[in-house]
Amino acid sequence: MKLIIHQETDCDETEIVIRCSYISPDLQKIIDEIQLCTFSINAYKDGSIKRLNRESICYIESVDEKTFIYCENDVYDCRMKLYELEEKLVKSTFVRISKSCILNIDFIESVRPLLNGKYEALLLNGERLIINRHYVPDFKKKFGL
Amino acid sequence: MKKFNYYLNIFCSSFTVATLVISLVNILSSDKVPTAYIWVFQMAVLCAVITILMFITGILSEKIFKNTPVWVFILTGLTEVLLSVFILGGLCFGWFPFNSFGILTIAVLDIVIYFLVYGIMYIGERKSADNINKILQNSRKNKLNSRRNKDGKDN
Repeated sequence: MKLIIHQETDCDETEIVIRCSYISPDLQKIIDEIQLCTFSINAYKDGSIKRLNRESICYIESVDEKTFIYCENDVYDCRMKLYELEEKLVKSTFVRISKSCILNIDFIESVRPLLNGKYEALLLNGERLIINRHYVPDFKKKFGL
Repeated sequence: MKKFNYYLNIFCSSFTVATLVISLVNILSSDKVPTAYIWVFQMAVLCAVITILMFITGILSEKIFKNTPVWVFILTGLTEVLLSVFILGGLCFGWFPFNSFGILTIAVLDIVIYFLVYGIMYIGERKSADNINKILQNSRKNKLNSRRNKDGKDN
């Protein structure tokens, strides 16, 4: 596999072009990584649209079939379904913690187990989220446990 | 698979703790309690039934009741344990006489075993949480260092 990088001072937008005869598993890994790095989503608030990148999203919650994106200080509406977002973010730092919530583990300050087999995650902004028992194994797996 | 491991852990912990506690009570008390080998298998069946019940109520509580309070969870678990012990242990296996003393003794023993098993499970979860917190702390440190390095290079 050859890697060619053209650095040009007048380039407005970074462009990645992959030329290949077939997509091998290794290449697929690279494509997944690039897709994750370039992931951004349209978020709506008070009639305006904002493009949010993955790193700025704290967690995503679905309430009454509506999807909300929680950033550190703001909450946005999202037109995508929770499962669609989960599919896109599954290989990143996001993990499903309940039927209605996907959490970005980069925003976790600490976790503690509860007596009923659930976990409680304290986020960097002081919010507390419950990790349901059903999702605890996947949550631990995200940390290699 | 991880979920299966979780319930397998409950089964093994409850079987071990229950067998040890009952054996200890047998040694310390003058009452004659069945000590034949079959008793061990009966205990395994009882623990398996309790684990299956916990698995079913676990699924139901996740699907029906979103936020089950801890005391409801404990009360449900205790009810499952007591019912299983009285029906299987008392009626089917004939482990103890159905008089007020027998019922009270078994109920107290069950409550002790229940909290011992949950204590063991909780210690395991506590250990996992500590590991996760260490990983989070290290990852924050690494990010901070790489940001400092980047800022240093930019300056």
